Amino acid sequence: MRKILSLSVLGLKQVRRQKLFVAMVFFFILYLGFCLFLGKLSVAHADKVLRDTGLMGIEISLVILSIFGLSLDFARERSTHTLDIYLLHLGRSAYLAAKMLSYILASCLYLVISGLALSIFLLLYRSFTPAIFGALYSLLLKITLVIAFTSLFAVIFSSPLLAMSAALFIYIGAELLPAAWEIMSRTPNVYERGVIYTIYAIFPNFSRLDFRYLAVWGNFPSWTQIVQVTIYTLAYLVCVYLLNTIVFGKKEL
Amino acid sequence: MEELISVRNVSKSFSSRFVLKGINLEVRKGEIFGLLGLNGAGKTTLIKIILKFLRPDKGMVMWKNSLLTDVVIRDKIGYLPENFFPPSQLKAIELLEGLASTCTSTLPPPQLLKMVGLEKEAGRYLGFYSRGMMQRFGVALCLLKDPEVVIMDEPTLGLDIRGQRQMFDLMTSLKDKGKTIIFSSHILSQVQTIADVISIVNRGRISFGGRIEELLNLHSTKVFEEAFLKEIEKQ
Repeated sequence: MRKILSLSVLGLKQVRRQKLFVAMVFFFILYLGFCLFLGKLSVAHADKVLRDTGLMGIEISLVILSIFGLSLDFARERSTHTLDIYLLHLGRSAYLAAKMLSYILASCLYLVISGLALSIFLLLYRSFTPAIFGALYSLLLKITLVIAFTSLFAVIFSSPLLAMSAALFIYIGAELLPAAWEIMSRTPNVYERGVIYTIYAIFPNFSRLDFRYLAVWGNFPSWTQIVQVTIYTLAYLVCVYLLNTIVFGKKEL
Repeated sequence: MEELISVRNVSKSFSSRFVLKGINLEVRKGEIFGLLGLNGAGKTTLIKIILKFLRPDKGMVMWKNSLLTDVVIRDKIGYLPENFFPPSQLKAIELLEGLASTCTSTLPPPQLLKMVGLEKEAGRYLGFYSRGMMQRFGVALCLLKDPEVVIMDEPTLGLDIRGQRQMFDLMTSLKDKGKTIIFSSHILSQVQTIADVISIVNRGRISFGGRIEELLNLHSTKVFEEAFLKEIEKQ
């Protein structure tokens, strides 16, 4: 565990100093201006529009940071042979855990910075509700799964472009599948329904993880909900990590 | 001298193209072992097999007459990869200290940086290091866990004359400290200067293994380059 933590801290320092991280912070500050514009455009419920678009901005920038950052980072470490050095010190499964943990820690840091910026912004426009912290927590859980999938695809594919595309596909798929299942659950064809349900069950269930809509209306998730989504995320994370260690263990470098 | 690493009958192919065929070699304690060959001869592949980054199709790698394990690789072997570029967002001392906490026994990072002549650059970002400084830093990383064996893949690649000299001096000082060094190179003058024993890898096979004088005697010449070329063309 000490080894994993040491490498995670190194990884966190790297991510924090990357241009992408700084770019995402600036992107979010600019995005807040856009939120203000949307709030002004809305005929009513400007406070809810501000909360919703603000949280959406954090999610978009975090997805970009984790998918692009991790895929490119892994490819860079492979091409510069830093990966060889790390593997000689830690072994493959510990390296994967450390890499994922470093991006989860970086996401936490980004959530603190952007959450603080959003809170100040909402306070200024009298739209603040502490419920956004619940939404930020659920966002961290979602991003944890996105990071796990990105690291899996970064290991599977030699090309970072393919890894990014696959991770983005999983993210978009997981976001859209509940709607697809809603439509297909009404089809009389059992086979089609079965296929869609299987995909829906296998993909991470982002719709249930997301507390953004509760926060928009100023509502907190219940403790039961929080515990359930945390357990679900951890169980899913362990499954993807185990799959990743198997794939990485077989991979020739 | 005690046999540390021995490669026994190792073969490796990539998509049905043989890269290594029945490779056998022994590396003894305290020697500088030069792995020679033209570009694409299979030197890096062999090193990667020793370090278990690649799996051989046939054969095995032994450590002191028992199978080389992951634990031995992690504790006893240091490695400087070819074209190594450390992460540019980290400072030299940060990376060394971070990795030091992953090792069971380590040399103190400041001492290591002093050993490779980078003590004044400890707080500098690695992205600002020159190629030569990066290579020397790579050697410091190699020595972090105080390994018995140091494997260097083309350690002088991309270095100017001064950088090459510094690297040789480092390798010689490591030998004086009792380390065993395996290095690959295709620059013969370098190998002749420091290697105790050489193996020539040619088209995936070991065509010669022994001392440089033996190679020179074998081809009745005093010029190493000539002997090497004759050996390569023999097959």
